[in-house]
Amino acid sequence: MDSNWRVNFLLILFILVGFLISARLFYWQIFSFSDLAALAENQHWISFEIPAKRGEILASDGAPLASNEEAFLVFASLPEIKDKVDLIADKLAPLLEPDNPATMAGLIKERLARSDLVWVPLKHEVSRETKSEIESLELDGIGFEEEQKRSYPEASASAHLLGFVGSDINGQPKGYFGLEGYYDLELKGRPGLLRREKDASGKPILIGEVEREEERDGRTLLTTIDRTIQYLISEKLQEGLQRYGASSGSVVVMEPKTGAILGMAAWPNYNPENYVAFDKGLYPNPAVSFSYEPGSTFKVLVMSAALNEGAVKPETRCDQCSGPRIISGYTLKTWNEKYFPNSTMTEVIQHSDNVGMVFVGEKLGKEKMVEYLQKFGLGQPTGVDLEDETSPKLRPLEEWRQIDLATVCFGQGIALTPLQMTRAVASIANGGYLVTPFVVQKVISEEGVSEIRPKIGEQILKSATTMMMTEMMVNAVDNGEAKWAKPKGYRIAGKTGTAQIPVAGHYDQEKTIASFVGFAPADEPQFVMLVTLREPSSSPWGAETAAPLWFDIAKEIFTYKKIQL
Amino acid sequence: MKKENKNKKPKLIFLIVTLVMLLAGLQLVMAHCLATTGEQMRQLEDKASLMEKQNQLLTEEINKMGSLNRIATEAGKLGLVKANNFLSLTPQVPVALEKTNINVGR
Repeated sequence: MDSNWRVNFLLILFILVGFLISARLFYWQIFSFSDLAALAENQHWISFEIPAKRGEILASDGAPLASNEEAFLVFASLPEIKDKVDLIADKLAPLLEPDNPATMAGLIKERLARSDLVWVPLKHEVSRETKSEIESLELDGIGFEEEQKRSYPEASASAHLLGFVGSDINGQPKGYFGLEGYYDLELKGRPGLLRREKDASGKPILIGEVEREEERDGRTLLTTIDRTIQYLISEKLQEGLQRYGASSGSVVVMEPKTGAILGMAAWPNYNPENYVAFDKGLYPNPAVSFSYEPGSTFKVLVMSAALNEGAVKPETRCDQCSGPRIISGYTLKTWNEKYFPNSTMTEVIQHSDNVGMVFVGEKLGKEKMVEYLQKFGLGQPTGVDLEDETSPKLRPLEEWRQIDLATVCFGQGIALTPLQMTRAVASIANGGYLVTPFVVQKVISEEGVSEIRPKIGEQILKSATTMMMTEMMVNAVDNGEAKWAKPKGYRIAGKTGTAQIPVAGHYDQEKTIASFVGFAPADEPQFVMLVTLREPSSSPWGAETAAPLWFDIAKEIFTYKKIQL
Repeated sequence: MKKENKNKKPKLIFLIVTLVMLLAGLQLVMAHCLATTGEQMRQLEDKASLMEKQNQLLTEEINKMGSLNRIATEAGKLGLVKANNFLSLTPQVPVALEKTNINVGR
């Protein structure tokens, strides 16, 4: 009996211990499996990330607009530091931050004083020259790690178009704005991974297992940007802003038949390599993200719609052009308060006659007006492959009042982006087709080249309409207010514009946006271009500011493109 | 019969020893070859990496030198100016030439 009790006790004890061991094993195998597996993995594997090279952005001739440059991360290995922290900071700060050495010295001192860390980064993207200078100081504990830096060989000439590369919330490189932002996924590639077995001290085992996941470099973008035109418009725009005392401006040059952007510049701009030193308000591209009231340049769209609908003909005479018009209590005048009774539609465009355009708008009607504005692509983004594109909304048909119909005829009370305006005028230049503007024509990767074909939309204007409108625009250039600035011999179709700027519910009497839109040569257009200048101080009028700048750029393009008389 | 077995034993031992020595020698040669090939490989890899780096540096240099900003600045320093007046030569045959040479068509 006594011995049976002991046997039973032992049996129960063994069963209990066995159960506890099984339970613990079950816990480790089932519940803690993933944690323990990860711990084991960390104990005998060491991993290195192999960074992928960011793809380049090339101009149409293959020259780089955005590329990569070798750079270095300067770090400090704290246990190896032998000199005094103050001395190191004073020596390094002028080299790492020449513009602001005091702040940099403070940051270095703060980081070198950390007792909870053994390794601290001091500065990213340090150049090779700076690295050599630091090496010559022979400071113990200061080291370098190779990294890549984004470089823009053409500096700020294409800043708005390209965007820049910053960091995401995890500190990884990320493209913002322009092409860098829009094509970030294609450009950044996929980093690779190298895994090797390591020994207890953490050193790689030479005959151990090695696993390598190859990195995939980012794709290269071949753009439609003509480097010469881009440089040209950027330089001319800066000169123009100074000459006419404007606060800002933009130039868009597009191939009318395909929608390929040949150049796009805005000023003031920023240096994408050092974007942090500039105001954030400068980052968005004004040509696609800022809207403006187009003023008289818009008359060519309204006139095209009326011609296309047969509401008017070039020789139709305006029987209400002898004086100001009063609509819904508002008095509508011409820009110079000169009136041309019985003028033809060609003359209405030539004189940029607001009252004549109200006559055209009334002939066209509210419904058709809204229909054509939509056909011209207003109220929706153009679909250009740039990250920061926006589009002002188009007022719904039911909200249009009589005064809205009247003012929109001369480009007030409606807002659009410079690119939307350029695209709409391109449809007059190309025989009536609405094209989708694009910047990238080829995406080049290790797997091959994928071509991006131009998207030619529906025909919104009859061919005959575009020919009539072209002639009216040629006449406006040859005989209008800006004829003095026109290059002799060339047939250029264009229209000036001067729009008042709306401020807090009313129009500012002093400030204007001057613009000129046109295409050349008129008979076989090779480019359509829009120039906008904000608040020019030498003269508020487009004919005296934006138009001469447009012609100045066009003359250079004629020479460069070998366009003959 | 027993005498024959006694004679065969040393021969077998000799054969085994020779074989072991041969294999040891072979192992030594193999190890040496592997070690030197590894070193050669390392040198080649270093050379490839150096050339890649030099290639990148040269590409960076070309990008900087080929920038239109730099070319315009350098051209300005050399005293080059833009041509304001230029003449376009038309591909059409001049009328005078056409009249004197009837073989020339338009």
